[in-house]
Amino acid sequence: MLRDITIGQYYDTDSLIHRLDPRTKVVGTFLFIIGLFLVKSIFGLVAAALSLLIIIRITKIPLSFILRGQKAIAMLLLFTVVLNMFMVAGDVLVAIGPLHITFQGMYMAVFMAGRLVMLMIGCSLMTLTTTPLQLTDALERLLRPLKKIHVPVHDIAMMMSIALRFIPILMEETDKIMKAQSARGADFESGGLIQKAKSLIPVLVPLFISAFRRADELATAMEARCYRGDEGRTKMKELKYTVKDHVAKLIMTALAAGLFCTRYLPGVLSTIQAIGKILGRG
Amino acid sequence: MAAMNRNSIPDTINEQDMILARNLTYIYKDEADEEMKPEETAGKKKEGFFEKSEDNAGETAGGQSAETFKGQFQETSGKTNGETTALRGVNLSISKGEFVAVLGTNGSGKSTFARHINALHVPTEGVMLVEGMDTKEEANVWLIRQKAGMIFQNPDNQMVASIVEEDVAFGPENLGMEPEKIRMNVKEALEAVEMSAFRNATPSKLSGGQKQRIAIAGILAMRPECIILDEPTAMLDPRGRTEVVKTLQKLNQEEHMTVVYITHYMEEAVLADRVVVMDRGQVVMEGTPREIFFQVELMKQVGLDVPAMTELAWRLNRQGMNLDPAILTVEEMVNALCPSN
Repeated sequence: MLRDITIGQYYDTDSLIHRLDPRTKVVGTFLFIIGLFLVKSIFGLVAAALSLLIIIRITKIPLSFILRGQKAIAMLLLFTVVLNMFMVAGDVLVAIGPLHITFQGMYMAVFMAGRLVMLMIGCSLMTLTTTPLQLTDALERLLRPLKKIHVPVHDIAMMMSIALRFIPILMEETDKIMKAQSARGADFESGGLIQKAKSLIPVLVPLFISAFRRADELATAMEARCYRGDEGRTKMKELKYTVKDHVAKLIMTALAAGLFCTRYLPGVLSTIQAIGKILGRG
Repeated sequence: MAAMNRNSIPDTINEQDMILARNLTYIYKDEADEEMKPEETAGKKKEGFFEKSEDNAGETAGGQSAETFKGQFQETSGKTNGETTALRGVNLSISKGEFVAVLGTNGSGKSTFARHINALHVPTEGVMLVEGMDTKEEANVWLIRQKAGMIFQNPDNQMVASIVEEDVAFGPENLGMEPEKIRMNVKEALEAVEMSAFRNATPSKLSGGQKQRIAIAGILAMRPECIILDEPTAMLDPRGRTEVVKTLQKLNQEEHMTVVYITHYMEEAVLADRVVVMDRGQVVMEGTPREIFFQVELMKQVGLDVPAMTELAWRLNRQGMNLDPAILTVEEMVNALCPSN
């Protein structure tokens, strides 16, 4: 189940987007998310979905792979949809006892679900096309101004990249511990939610111990490889904006602006209709 | 040597000496039981367990209480009021281009010794010189770590980056090399360990042997003079072990890299130019593999095995055969048994 999460995974296809500067991708994703939240109409949502599909096509990552990665948010999605369906007041479509589904509710549910899915896909596109180390490099560079107010930007970035590096290792370990406990008669399947959570404690304790041990060993190994923070440290792959990056950023800004403008689309359409009517009458 | 001033740098430094330890002593304070140090996992624990139970068997049969056994055990590891003497008066010099294997049981101080070379530990008494630099001097630490790279037991716990190439670049980046130079070093290091094809791979998808070779490349990219390996094959399968050992042999022979190899696989120690046996924080034996393994009884006394073929020759000789006691490999055994071949 844990293996399905695609956030933090890297999918190498060496596409145009893979080769962009990671900062461009971070900024681009950010712009896309802003655009997504500015969208108010279903037109905008469709426009966003279409542009997302085009971007996915450019990355050459199979759509099915990306969709599989969204399984993790299925519960959240279901929750959003159900809540919106029943909670939004408006024209009643179906009524089941005290519950009623409204047209506005349905609209809202679809809208929110679409937004949520696209948000997740947008973020996973960023991590799928960028290695975690590049990503943290980008964040380090983008957040560099914060260093002036003594935010340990480099340390945070290093911690993030190490955390990402150890996700698969710790997952494998969790799996191993769970199997070892099951072999000794532990039961992780039955019981209610609380019972299930409780049965995870014997898994978490050894997992934490092992994680601390790994951290200790990694720290020693890093020290042995001359790591001493960011003073005097250089980079093999220095981040450099190229023309492509500037073009990509322009496109993403235009996309965000375009998505923002879609909220006026119904208004514009009705205005055009009105004008047309007036003209037709005249 | 005993007359030498304890804390001073020896005045006779041989130009050829890569690593020089004089009266190296290391005492550390610890509340927790250090017998199960985190770096001493899996394979080693098992070995220690068998060995302990074997020793113990005779004693308990003799009616000794567990208390006495514990006392003896503490004595072995040199523990007194929370202080453990991990190394006591180690004198050792390793010259450039040498392949030295360090053998010893759990708690013999071989890992502690390795950590001294890399300045991860500083001697409590005595001196440790790496290329003539004292590890006690703060200013030398980073240069020493660049000159003498260290590989640890668990391949997963020494990789920083999620991409092979970026992990190999980690060391040179820390040294502040020019990006162009880093790229060149990384490329050459990966070629040296024959892992160029996996440049963009994720470490978690590689085998143990491959991961350990990447770790070696990570050290090579820093352009060291010497590589210290602390049981690099303890967590690997036989195939991974061969991969790592072959890589090291190649580096030693072709690039004249000094290799300090800490292991408890006797078959791997056979490949070294020189074998150093440690016991209870001291160097007890030193010599070519043949000279060392030939002394089967002595090896067994310090709780170590000898290569399987040496042991076989020893046992056959005890049964009245007349074989060369210094046989190390299967081939030599075959030749000794069937001279016609």
